[in-house]
Amino acid sequence: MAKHWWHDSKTHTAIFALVMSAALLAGGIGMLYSSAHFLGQDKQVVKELTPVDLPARIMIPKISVDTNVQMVGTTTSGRMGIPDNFTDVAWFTGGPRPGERGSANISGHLDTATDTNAVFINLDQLIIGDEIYILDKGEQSIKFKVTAIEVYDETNAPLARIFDTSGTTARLNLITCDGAWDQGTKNYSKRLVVYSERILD
Amino acid sequence: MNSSVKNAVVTSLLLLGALIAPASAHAQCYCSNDLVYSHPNYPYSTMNYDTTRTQIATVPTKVVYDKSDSRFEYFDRPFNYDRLHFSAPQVPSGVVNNANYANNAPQYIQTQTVVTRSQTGNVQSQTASVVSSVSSKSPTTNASTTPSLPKTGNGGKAKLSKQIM
Repeated sequence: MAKHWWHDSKTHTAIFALVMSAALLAGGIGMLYSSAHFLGQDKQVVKELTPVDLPARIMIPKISVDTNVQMVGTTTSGRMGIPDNFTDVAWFTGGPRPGERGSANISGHLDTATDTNAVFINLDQLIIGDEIYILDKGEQSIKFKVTAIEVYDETNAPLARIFDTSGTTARLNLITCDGAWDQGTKNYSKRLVVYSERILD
Repeated sequence: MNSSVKNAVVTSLLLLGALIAPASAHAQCYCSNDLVYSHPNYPYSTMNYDTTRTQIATVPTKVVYDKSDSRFEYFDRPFNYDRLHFSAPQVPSGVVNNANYANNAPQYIQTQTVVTRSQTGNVQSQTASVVSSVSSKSPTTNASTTPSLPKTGNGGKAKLSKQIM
């Protein structure tokens, strides 16, 4: 009786080898694609988060703010610093730069000693979705969108949240005074914090 | 197993190996036109960092050298978004976290930072060594401590409101 080709052991071996090669080839291509995709993602991440330079200017169209950004650390009493005039704002250099992962913080005066002619007098008018722009000295801008507006007692604010440097997003918080003025301590009772997140174009 | 099967298995394995090898090589070092990525084997203990960044969570696992602005960037784990910048030799003296992350005690970097780089062969790897001396001078501020909220009010708004009332 004639032996059919599918009964031939050599044919079985050949088919087995062919199938195995095809499977391994497919797996290999998949791995290569994954690797290339992974590296591509990484490259994209680097591109998206192109190193941000030091902040030089802030623009908040909604409340007509367009002013310089100073740099501050902490005061001797452990407070975040403030700008040395009423028209500029100040970025806290102890945290991320605006545009970097984590929460960057910027403070600005609510008022002067005699009037309301200060940079963040209208900060409380911002609403969720409003835009904030930070520009470096080369006029490269990065955009943020307001995500939350909170008012805290000065002594009971969630500092860990406000100054949080972790997380996967680049956040920017704008801080000014709020609440009642205490002439004795010369301090307002509350703080207004506008939270925002970086928007990648 | 007869010789045909053995040959098929060997061929398949070789094929698989050929496919995996480039991917593995890229995992070690990936080079593009303007950036060089490499897994660092740098002397962390002698590095310092941009004094504007003091909250460092973990030991960095990747270094990116950006030729466009001659700046090194640190990623605290592979391919994530966090990065730490420092430029050399413009790193200012100041208070920074302990560079080797053994603890978070801030130290005072007294000297300028020196960075040397070298290129090796066809692989565009950058080697960075950052040398700094840490003095025993106490820091003026503890930069790693979360500050309290700023005093941004001066009473003008309240005074005006009172007058209106």
